[in-house]
Amino acid sequence: MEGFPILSVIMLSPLAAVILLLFVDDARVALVRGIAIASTSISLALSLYLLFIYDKVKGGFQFIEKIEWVQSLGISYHLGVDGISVAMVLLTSIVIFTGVFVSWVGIKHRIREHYMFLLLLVAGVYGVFMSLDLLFFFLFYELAVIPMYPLIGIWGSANREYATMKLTLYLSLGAMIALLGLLSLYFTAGAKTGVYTFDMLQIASLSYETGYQIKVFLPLLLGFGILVPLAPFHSWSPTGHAAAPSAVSMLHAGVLMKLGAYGILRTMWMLPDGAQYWMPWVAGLSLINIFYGGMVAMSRRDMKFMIGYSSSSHMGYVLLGIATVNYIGVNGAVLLMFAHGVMTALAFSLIGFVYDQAHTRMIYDFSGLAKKVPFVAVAFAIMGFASSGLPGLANFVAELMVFIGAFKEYPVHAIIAVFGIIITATYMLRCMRDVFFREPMEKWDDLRDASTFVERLPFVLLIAVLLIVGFYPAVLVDVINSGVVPLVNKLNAAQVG
Amino acid sequence: MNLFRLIPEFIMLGTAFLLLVPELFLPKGSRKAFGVIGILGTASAAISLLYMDYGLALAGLFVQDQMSIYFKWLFAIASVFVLYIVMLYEDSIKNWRGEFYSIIVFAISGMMMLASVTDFVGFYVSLEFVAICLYVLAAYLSDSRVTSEAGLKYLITGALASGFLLYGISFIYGATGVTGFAAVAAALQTAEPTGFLIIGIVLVVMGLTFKISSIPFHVWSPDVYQGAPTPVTALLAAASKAAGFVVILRILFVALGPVKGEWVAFVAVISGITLLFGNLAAMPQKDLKRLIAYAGIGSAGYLLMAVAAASELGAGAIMFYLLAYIFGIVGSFIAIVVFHKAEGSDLIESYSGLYKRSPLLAFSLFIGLLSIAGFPPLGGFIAKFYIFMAAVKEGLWVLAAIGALMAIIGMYYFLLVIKSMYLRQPTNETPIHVDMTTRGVLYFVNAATILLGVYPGPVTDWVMSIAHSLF
Repeated sequence: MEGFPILSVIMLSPLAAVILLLFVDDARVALVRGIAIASTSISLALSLYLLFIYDKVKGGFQFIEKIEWVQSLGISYHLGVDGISVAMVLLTSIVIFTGVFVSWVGIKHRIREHYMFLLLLVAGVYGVFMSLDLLFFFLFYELAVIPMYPLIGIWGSANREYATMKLTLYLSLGAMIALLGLLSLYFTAGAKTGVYTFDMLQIASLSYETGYQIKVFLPLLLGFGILVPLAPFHSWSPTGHAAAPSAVSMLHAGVLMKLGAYGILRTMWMLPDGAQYWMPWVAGLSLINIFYGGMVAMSRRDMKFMIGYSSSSHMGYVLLGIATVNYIGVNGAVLLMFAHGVMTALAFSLIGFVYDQAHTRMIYDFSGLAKKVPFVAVAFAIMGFASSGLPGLANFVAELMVFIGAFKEYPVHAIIAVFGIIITATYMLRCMRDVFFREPMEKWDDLRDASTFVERLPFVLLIAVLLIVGFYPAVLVDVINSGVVPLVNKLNAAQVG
Repeated sequence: MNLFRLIPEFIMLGTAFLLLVPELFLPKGSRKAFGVIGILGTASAAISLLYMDYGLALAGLFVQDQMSIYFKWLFAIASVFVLYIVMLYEDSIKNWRGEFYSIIVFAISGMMMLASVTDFVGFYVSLEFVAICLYVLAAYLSDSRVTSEAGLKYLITGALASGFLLYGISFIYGATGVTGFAAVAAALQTAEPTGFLIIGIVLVVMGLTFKISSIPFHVWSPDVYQGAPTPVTALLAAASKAAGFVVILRILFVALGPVKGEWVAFVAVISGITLLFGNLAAMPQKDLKRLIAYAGIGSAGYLLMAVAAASELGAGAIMFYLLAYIFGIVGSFIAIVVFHKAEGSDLIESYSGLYKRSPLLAFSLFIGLLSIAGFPPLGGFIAKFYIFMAAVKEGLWVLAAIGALMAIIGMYYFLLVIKSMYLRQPTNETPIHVDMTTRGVLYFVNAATILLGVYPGPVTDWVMSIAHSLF
């Protein structure tokens, strides 16, 4: 496989599907779905393969591809992955693959266009995780945001036009803020060496004055933080989740939010002194995320809103893990990004499955669904347990690592954050009790369980991933660790600002 | 014989006269053939550009260099598409259809001259030549009140701006004693800037804002864009703006380059106000042409941001932006003309559900408008990216921050159009027919916009080498 551009193929396969779909007739639904499944299967298979052939001992960026793009400005199409990106690429592949099946069940009109936008978005997400060129990094980042507009606007539910506009503008604003920081970095690095290039490896290899790092870290943190979503810039996210169709919510919470955290990790790598200066702030804000998100989630009656706020609460743990800047904390944060991505995709696909039949997502509208839809109920219970951090599921391992890491650096924060888990358990268990248990209601007598292969596949696959990583975390942690170690080493070598 | 360097202009002039004469003898009726002749004439002028050597002509009043060739290409591209738009539109013109084609070709030949001027006198003459053509075109539908009003507004603002320009030029002449751009630059190299010179610079910059529709001479543009015949709007947006910027590059970057400390801050302030005004005023617009006019004011603000950077990168960014802008404008306006013929309206709400009635028209507007708004991976995105690069490099942080914020506003109002076309259901389900040639043209324009965004390398290298030769 020497010389096989595996990264390009993973990323371009959904893009190729988009171009193919341009020429397919709207009415040929089976062909449209076939193309979507084929392209995402290729990406999934190759991402899994990537996980195993990535050289953990060697570490660093591997499978590098580089093509000159704009010579006069030093822009190139430059891909490469380290341990962190490998995990994120795999997460993306899992979520989109299951998302295609969820859309098969959930999307009833303008199917071809739906898949086109969905796959376009995913190509952008892959691009961000693989790019080693700042311009392409930014370009893919925007490419991942913009298809959200039609995806929510056309196929969304209540209040979709407002939600989609808010989301697009918020995220684009974040991108623009980050852009100014990235450009400043480009010129500062260029002035140092005399060679102006957007090459991230080159930019990260230089060292900058501490004062400059502190200044330029802020716009990048803010820009990527909006996407995480870092409190207090999170308000776009729950409304967006609530209005989006299931597959889009899955991608949005499962993958898109991780782009922000990933961007922050890459920024820390380029600006270690700046990171050391700002990380205590991030740790503080992460507590607001955890508690504010958790409290609001507790008060929501709409299940999607609940999961939406719960996502910002969980992303708070990710931020806390990143802020620790020690091996175990950052490893935990990246693993939690993966685990939360899978878990939340499962949550939105299940809620979407019920909503498509019941046309309501209000917790108080349901009761005793477990008798009618036992399969969905079991899957939902597993999701709830994962979300509250029960052992045996991926989230437990990740959250444990985050807490251990946090105790070393921020013991007070860590003790406070642990109570966040109780909040999560409270609303998850309460939601499960109210929706699936208690007395069954007559009006839901004709609710159908997930029974066909297409309906069950996404749930089974996502649960399987949660269990595998929960019982045997080494399969991912080894790879992630190979990316985290050099990052943390570099950060620890930096002077604390 | 260095007059050979004027062959492209001569071809355009010849084509214009060729179109003018038969109009006198032919009976009333379709003049589509004129459009074809005009396009062929433009194409041959464009081909002759390939054989141009660099150097001076007309006793040093005219220069053929890399930059003039680039801008002449832009004008040729704009001319071909605008003439095509006239062919689609001409049923709405009752009288003197032939002249309409002819005057457009005259205007383009004047713009080509503008790309090559090296002297304030030659510059003013060429500028007025173009302006007079455009005054006539803007008021062409003399029986329409809106058009007449638009034409009058254009004429009065234009005359005022010309006055500013002339007055400013006379101050600069007073300070330096010469009118040639290179000679002015040489004189300013040694001289201390005086108050008279600064008054001259301020007046010239203000006079130039008319052509590019930025503050303070922007007031004509919303009314004219909305009221003028649509091909003229396209001509103003695509070509006239480019003509304004080639002159700005020549005058500010070359002639006044040595004293750039005197005008950079002034241009930066104009750019900031223009950005704010154009984008904020675009938000509540209901008419698509008027929306594009305000967005065009916003675009002028971005371009001025690159001017304020006063660097190689800035000049290159301007050239790239204008090319991407031409394709965005042309793609949108062809769709607008075809839609107007079917629906008789330019209101944004009348575009609702267009994706069902004509997927291609909706897609062209989608690509064209989003490119202007700066969405990746379209040409306009790369162009805006370069402009931000130029601004950040020179440390224009406030301006860059305003620009970033206004880019979000720009996304907002263009997404409103997209929303109407794609998210709403049509009130009238009849499909809109688009003929084969127009389809081909639209595919070409959209492909060009996408290609500029996906593979900007060759054009970027080209404009950056031109920008390098400027300094």
